[in-house]
Amino acid sequence: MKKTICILIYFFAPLVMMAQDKSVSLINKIKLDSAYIYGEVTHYTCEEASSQAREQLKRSIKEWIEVKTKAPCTMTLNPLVVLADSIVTKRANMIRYFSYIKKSDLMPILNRAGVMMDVDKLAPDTIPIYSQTVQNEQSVLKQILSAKSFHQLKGIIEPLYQHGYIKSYGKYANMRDPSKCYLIIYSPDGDIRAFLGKGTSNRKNLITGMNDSEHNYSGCGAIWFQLNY
Amino acid sequence: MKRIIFLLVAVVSAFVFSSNVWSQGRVSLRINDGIGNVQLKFKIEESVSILMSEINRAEASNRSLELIGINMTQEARQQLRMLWDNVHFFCEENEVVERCLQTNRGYQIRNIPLIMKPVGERQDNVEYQEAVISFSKNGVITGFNLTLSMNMYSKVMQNTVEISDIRRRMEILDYVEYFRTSYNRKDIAFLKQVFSEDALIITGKVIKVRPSEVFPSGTKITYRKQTKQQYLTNLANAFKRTRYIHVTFDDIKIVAHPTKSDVYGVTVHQTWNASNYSDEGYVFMIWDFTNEYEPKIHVRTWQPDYLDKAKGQRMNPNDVFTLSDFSL
Repeated sequence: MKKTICILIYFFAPLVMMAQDKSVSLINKIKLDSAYIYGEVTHYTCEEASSQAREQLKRSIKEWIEVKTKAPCTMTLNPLVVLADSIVTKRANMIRYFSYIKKSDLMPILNRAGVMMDVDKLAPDTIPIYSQTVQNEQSVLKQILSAKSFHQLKGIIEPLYQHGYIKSYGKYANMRDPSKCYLIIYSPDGDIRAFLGKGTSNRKNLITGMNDSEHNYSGCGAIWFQLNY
Repeated sequence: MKRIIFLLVAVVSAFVFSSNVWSQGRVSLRINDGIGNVQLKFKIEESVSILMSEINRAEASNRSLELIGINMTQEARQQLRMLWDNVHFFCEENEVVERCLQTNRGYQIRNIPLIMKPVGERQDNVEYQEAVISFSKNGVITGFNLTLSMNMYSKVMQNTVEISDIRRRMEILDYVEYFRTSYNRKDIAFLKQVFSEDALIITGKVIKVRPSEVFPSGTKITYRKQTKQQYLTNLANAFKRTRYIHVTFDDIKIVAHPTKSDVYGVTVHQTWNASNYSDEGYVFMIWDFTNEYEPKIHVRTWQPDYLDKAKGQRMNPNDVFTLSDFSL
């Protein structure tokens, strides 16, 4: 028994240390890779660290755009920051929040400066593992409704599309048949404001159950999607 | 067979463990941007790597720093030793990747991650801080200071519309960081030099009063004036009585004087932690950069953060002193 415990301690302690180092190594690898832009802050709370890291990332993106375009950057940067990924680690009594984005992910937006991002080209970095059992309409909707931010949508919609549960999706401006399309309304900061059911002038808010409409969300963006049912 | 497997696992794990422990002493800096001269880049990387590795070894052995032979000025060595007398620190990351910033006098590497361990305090009473290392134009280390946060630094550098000269903004931030670290070093000599001879120092204190229309919260702030000599004498006594002093600045704001071109109002939120006392408050300073190599502080005020901390009653930020409260 004592021998078994010794083996376990000897084996797992270095593994724990290696796991903690792995995040730091990944952060350093991204920092050394000129294909990425990043923002990084260490703060007492995760909330404050993430908020400031995103501000830092915005400033870095602005700087990069201004160098790239040789002109002042006046476009809204919040939708770009929503595309960013993050790594969170501990530093003594504080939280380190590292927010990063690939420059190539920004290129479509650069080409259309001043326009909201091209959501038709969303591509998740990782595809969540979904069960292979067939999912019904309600369970698919339930997954989509679990998203709290535009950034989370990326990882939910694309796999469902690839598995054939979502027939098609796109930006509001490209919506052809509103009566067949659900809508996801999001704020300029990337927060999801509403999920609306299919319809033309009147839709059902899928969370509150009340009548609603995309026209009630002035200043927000929207994505439509059609299910394959 | 079982014994062989057990021995193999133990040897491999011990190797991984010990290599981790060994490598924790060594720190390697890599610069990812900001300096085109490859030789100078390597020189700076090597200097910082050697310095941080020595800091880690000294902390692990609980000894003084051996800085002779490290590519740094005598003044930088002295400042670092003064800081080390009050607080030990180490870098727990084996590799640090940062940008190199160009400054008026050379270069800077910011955001060096440190774990602070005040001398004489409990070993579990640790805190995270970041350091900034400054270099001359030919890559010699000229300073080691504790920083304002990177977010604050870049916010001031990019968004301060009141001060159009980026060079001056950087200068002000550098001096504010140096000023802050001088408290951590208990550097009375620098504080004596940076305050002008006729400097005005004002300290606020919360007192309880009968609640009224004027003071509905039942508290008010009274103010006490000190001359430079009085302030520094009291500070020197405070330095002697405390084992360590740990000052942090956050939420910095810099405003240019409307008519005097080299004068600036700097407001910071200060947290003061010493072995026998702690407080939080707003520090407002008037800095004069007429001689940019020896800027002076003409006014320093301190106001408490809270009128009543138990009730969570904060001082109105609009009541913090500003440039318009003083005529120079």
